[in-house]
Amino acid sequence: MNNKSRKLVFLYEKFKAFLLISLIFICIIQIGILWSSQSGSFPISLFSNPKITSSISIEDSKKQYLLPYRVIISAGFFKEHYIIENGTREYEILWKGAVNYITQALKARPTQIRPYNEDEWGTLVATKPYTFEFKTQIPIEIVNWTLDLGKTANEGLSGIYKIVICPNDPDNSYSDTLYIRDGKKIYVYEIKDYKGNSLNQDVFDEVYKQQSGDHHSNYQMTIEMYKRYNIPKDLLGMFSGRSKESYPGIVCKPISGLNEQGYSYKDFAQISKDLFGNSGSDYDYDKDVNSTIVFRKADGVYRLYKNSILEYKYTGNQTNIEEPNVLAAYKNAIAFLLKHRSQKSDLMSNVSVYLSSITQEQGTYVFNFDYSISLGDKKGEVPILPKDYTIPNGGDELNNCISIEATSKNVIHFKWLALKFNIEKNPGRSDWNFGEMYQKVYKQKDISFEDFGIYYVIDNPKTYEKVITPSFVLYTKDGRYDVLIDSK
Amino acid sequence: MKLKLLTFIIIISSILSIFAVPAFAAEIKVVDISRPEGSEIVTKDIFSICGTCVYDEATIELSYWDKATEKYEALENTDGKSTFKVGKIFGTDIKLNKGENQIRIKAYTKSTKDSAQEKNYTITYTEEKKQDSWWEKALNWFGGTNEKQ
Repeated sequence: MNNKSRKLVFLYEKFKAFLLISLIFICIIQIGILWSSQSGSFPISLFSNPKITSSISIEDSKKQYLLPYRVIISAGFFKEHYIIENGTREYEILWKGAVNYITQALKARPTQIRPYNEDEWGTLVATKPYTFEFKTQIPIEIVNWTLDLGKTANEGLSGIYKIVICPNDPDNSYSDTLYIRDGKKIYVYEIKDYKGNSLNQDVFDEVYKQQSGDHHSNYQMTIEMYKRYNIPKDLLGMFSGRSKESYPGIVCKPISGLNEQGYSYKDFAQISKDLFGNSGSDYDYDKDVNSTIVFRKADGVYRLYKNSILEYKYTGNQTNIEEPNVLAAYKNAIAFLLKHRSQKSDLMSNVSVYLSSITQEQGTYVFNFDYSISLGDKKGEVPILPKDYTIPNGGDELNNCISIEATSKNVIHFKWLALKFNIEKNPGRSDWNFGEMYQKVYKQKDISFEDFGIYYVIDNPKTYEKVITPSFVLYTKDGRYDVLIDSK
Repeated sequence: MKLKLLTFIIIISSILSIFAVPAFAAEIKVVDISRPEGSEIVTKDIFSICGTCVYDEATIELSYWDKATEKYEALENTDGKSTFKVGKIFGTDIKLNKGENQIRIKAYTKSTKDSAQEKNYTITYTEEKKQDSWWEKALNWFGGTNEKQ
């Protein structure tokens, strides 16, 4: 072989090697694109989906999902108590202060552990200045993770359900004291050398002055009014006077195009954009035999029913023999929620999400969340409750706005009330009294209630726009009852 | 023998008149007042009366002891009513005068109006002594002035 032909062979081999390397590189890029579009992640950030990376990270926003659904300030037993509206500036100030206290408290051991006593707890809530209540007990693992506490010396504290905070507590040698209630016990934490001033007398005075000046309803506690009865003693309500407050109407709007009989390509594209934002193009869409819109991705199927429930079912491998871990399942649930919230620009923009309940199923945890609609400009929020929402064709009920079933590995079932909410401009004025509402809503002979409140109940699912106004909702041992409040 | 029988009848009649007659005329329980539980001393001029009703519905009449007329006069709640209907669970607010307020709560249904349930309460309204804030209390405590008060 002469020099020329050897050079040609060398060039040919060089070309082949270059071609091979290019093909391998293109192949990796293609795998990366496919992987990121199907699972939303890729081990090398270079190939990750820019739509996903631009979304809010779970670490940045995990605190948004640990919010108390009720914050109360109290001037003392038989004195003024106020419920601080969620989403207001005062709510944010008080919760931020409470987080400081909780963080310090959980790093230490409780100074006392007492069995839960209804009368004692009711008296604490009525007497001490600040109370923060979650709708359900938040497992301690979730609290520790959310507040970046690592492992704490919890001494049996299984979770946080309700917290009473009293800076300079006269019943505890004027120490800053936290009373934390889980399902069974009251844990008393004494905070030594608390440096902050987040919930001091000035803060209390400012919030109290604002509440009394704004003529917010002055509530009474069951421990003060109905001590002898077999009802929780820490409930707040208008038991004697009348509540006269203004409430706006909320416009509930289904996703446009959902009420169509037949769906055109344009309808599918619009609905998918409303649900999944710019990622809508990543889903294959179609109709099933029941004319329900179906969106498919590699590992799951979404169904959007006519009553505005969006359901997701994981279609991948579901064999799970591991005992579920509540924190891992919660992280998966929150990540899933965040991913979908970041996609739905219009649908969830004015909605806060509160954890309502956690139940353990076989190998999974179910996390139920409810919406509160922001009134804008930190004017507060109004809570939403769905009623009579069922997945068609014999499916489950949806008693909360969002329900996520997750294992330690992934989310396997997700139900979501896909509605847009707008605030009506002219608020109505309500006028109600607890006794009247109780009489209307609960016809049983004995006195029974576990909780009650004012919620916007969305019932009678419709495919067209509907305005909802506040209802009185009573939780009893027999279930949940609601009645519309007359608006004037 | 006849005298003994007559004496026995007289004794029985006397016992019946002492115990049985008031028992037959006893008031029928219509409501269970949970607040006030008895006489109370309060520092707020608005006082809440709360309770539950044994029946589905009852009527409540509020009155107060008027020292000038020396009799019970109608007492209006903060809604301007002294007689009003209540349901299974109820509450109403009244405005107190300074000092002792002798209040009478009368409750009845249509069928028990003649033997209405009635109870008197004394609610004393005193002006609240200005309290130190908990911060001031704490400072006093640390400064040892708490005991002097």
